Amino acid sequence: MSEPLRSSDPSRIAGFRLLRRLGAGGMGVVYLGRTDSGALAAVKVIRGEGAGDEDFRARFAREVELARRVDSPWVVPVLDADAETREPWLATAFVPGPSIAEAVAAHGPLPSQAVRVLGGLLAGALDAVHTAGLVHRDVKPGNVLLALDGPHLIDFGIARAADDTALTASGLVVGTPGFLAPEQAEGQPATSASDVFALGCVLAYASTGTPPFGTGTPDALMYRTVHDEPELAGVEGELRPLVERCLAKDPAERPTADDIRGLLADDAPDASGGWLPDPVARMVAARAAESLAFPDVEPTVLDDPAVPVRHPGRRRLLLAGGALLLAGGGTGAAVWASGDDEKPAASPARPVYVLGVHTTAGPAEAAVSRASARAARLAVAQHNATPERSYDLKVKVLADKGDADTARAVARTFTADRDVVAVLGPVAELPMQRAATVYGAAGLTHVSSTTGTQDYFLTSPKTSFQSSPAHAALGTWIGLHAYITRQVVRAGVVIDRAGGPAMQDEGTQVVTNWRTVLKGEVVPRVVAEATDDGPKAVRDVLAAGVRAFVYLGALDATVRTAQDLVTARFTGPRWMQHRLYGSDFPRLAGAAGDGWYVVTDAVDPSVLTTKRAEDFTAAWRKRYGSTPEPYATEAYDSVGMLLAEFARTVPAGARRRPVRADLAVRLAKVKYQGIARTYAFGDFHQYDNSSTGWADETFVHEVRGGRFRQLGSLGDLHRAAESRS
Amino acid sequence: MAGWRPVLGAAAGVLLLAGCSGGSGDEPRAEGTPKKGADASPSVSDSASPENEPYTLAEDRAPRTRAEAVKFVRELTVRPDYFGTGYRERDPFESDPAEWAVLGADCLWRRETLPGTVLASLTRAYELPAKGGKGPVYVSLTVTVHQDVVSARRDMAGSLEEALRCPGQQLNATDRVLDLFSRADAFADGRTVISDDDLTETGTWVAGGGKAHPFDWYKFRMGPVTVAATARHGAGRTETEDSTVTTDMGKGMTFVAASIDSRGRAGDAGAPAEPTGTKGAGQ
Repeated sequence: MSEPLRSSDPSRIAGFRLLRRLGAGGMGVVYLGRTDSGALAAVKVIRGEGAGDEDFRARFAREVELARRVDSPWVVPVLDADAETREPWLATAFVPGPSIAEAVAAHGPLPSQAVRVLGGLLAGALDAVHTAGLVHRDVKPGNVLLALDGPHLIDFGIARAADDTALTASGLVVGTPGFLAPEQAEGQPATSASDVFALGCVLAYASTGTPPFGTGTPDALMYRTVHDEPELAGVEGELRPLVERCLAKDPAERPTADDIRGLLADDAPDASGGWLPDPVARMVAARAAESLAFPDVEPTVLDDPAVPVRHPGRRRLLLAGGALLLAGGGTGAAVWASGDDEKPAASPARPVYVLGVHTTAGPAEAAVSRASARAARLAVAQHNATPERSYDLKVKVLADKGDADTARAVARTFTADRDVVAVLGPVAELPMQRAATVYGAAGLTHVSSTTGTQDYFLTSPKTSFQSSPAHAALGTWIGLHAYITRQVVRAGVVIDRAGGPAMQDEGTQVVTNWRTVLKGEVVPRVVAEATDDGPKAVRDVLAAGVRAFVYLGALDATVRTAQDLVTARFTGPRWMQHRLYGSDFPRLAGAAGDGWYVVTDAVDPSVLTTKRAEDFTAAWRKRYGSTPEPYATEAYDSVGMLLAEFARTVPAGARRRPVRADLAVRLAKVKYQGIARTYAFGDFHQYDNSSTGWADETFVHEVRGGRFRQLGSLGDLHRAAESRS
Repeated sequence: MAGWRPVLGAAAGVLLLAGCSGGSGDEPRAEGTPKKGADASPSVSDSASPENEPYTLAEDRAPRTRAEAVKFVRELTVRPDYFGTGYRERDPFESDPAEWAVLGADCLWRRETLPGTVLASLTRAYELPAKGGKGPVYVSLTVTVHQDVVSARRDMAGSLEEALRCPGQQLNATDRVLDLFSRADAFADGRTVISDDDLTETGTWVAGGGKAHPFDWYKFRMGPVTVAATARHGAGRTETEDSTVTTDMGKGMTFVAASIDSRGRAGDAGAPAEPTGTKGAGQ
């Protein structure tokens, strides 16, 4: 629903400190701002050709003046504005709720009673706009935001001009085709009756889920608006004749906004949100809860870091209480839900908290997704088997599709469910980057144990953590493995861009480290994506007389390289990119794969001899019938760490709920002893590999006999080499 | 344990930081550039595309002959103020479009005749004159038309390879670039990008035996066309001011990218590329 400020954005406009970007259009940018007293505001800054135009400024100033006189609880109030500055701006109160368009898209048409409430209050809002001498000109589902107390009309008449026009054969039209009136479609000026027509369209859309003149190109929509009758078959009961009157072609035949308000006056809601269907009410509450977590960005914050949000203000606290209570009323089921499990036996004495697991569907991430879900279930089952526990846990697994939208949708589902106390994941890079923003805004702590890019920290600096190392760090460790095994020789490094951006991250460090730290010769090659240049790069590097080989690419290209190296009778050391650990490489490469190394933090605990590793391996085998698969151990450790710290945030009195934000504060300072390594987080909440002992926590696996075999940690290999010399 | 640990431990720490922050400043340089959005350029058509589509140029809309390509790069307007207020053209302003710069095996840049895969390449030079204790900034912008998309992809890979092959590069008789760090964000990887493929490199440069100052190098690919810009910062700027120079250069590149994108959409490679400020699909 918003994105972070860019470095080109101002940090403050008049009395508003800017926090986020809400959107941008041809006329400028809309920011989320906060007043010094803590209230949130939408600040629209006009940029571009209109801003410097005296006529524009005069009209802007006049409309702001009129807008200040609009007096309705259902019209978002103007807080402040300045038409005289270089970039004129307008600040209105911020309503965090979803628009009618979003609510209908997510949950379908509204019940007729809700539409009646909507109609009555929006008619009142329009009446206030018209009484003030303004015409809204763009009433549409996207301009009506839903809150628990009722709908709020935004973006009325001001600072909208060329950017909101639809260019057609008949000229410039202000408004949105499909919702604008026939007279507007014909290029005549909008009147208050045009707003009533648009209101009729909005009510029809809310009732049926489709606009009354259908969808399609602007030209087609406007033609139908002028010439065709609206499709109102799905509009029920008394609403239908009213909507039909609003949609009269002749403006003079339409009722006034005040008439409509009078007809629907008996349907005023209370402020509980009861007028909305439950799923929409939960959506509204979740948005409200998210907005509470928007950061204050006072530059002078030196207070106790354990208080993550400053100046909550009594009003906002009350709002939070209401929103969170409502949000707790149920858990929205995402379409990707793979189902709850591990339901503990019902026990009225103990609360039940939920551990979310945010995975990714599809073959590429299937292994890490499965390992993560299994690890969470095992850890939670172990908790629920503890007799002295004061609460029960259950696991809820939701999978995104690897893209930004579904990743954020999964995060929103978790954050809206107040029983979810922590999340393992996301498991894939892009979902981690994009969903972190949602988790951060809602103050829900999550740990990703399978990603290696740290850009999540930019948008979510408080509650997002990564317990797997940076891709770049693993590049460094390939060099370290070569060093301790005395294999620093002239090396060829092929970075195949088809393997994704992590290839560049890892490869840059392999090359730099080999050359500047290990003082070895290196021959780098970068292969363009979507070409078939890999084999030629391999041949070129071999022709340069290299005696070690690093190929960083996708699985199929790495398998082919293994075969090409056999053909070329190359017998020097060979490394693949770290994310191929656990892949099908050994099977696909066959004998050509023998001898390839992968250096990774992922451990195979079944070959370790510590008691913790043996116990974990035994528990896994008992539950799942096999030894822990790759990445299971790190996921299990991450869950164990989350649950251990969560336990410390649970208040002693059973009636009080733990505070979500407390977990992140604790986790940032944690030192957790996992099965094969100690977890601590660095300044970017990344796995801190500068702590002592990390060489004992990084493992070298060699492909041999059709599978990955763990040779030992870098520390093990180093000690073995020392003892031999 | 032996002496390698502190060395590599420190290296890994630095590298982590570099991986996270793009080398300097508080945020990745890629984040510091304007993303493709409605405010990116006066020439952006607001109705053109949703925000998550990159600027691009379809192969069948791109110049096909050397003559068309030379016309294309020459007609592209790149105003000095694209890079910020106060910039002006340098003299000489434009390079010979039948040549381009090649990084030799000796890590020295030389101008050479275009290879068969490149149709035209034009470099323009700009400067922000020294003022108020702040040294000059030199910006160069190069637009290159490749014969096809695959050739342009190879050129991008080659650029990444250059930074690995030559972490120190001699630009000319006096200027040397050091410590280049690359980052690549491709639209195909789901990253937030401006063009089909965004490369950013940051490092430092020194003139003569002087002090090192920031050096930025961005390169975008739009179908078969690449747009590259470098900025050599002068002395006397705070980290924030240097960051503004970098951001402004990225903005200027985005304007150029938007011009190329809109030319492709207009479907008229011969049309003037001057941003017009008009809106709507019917312009």
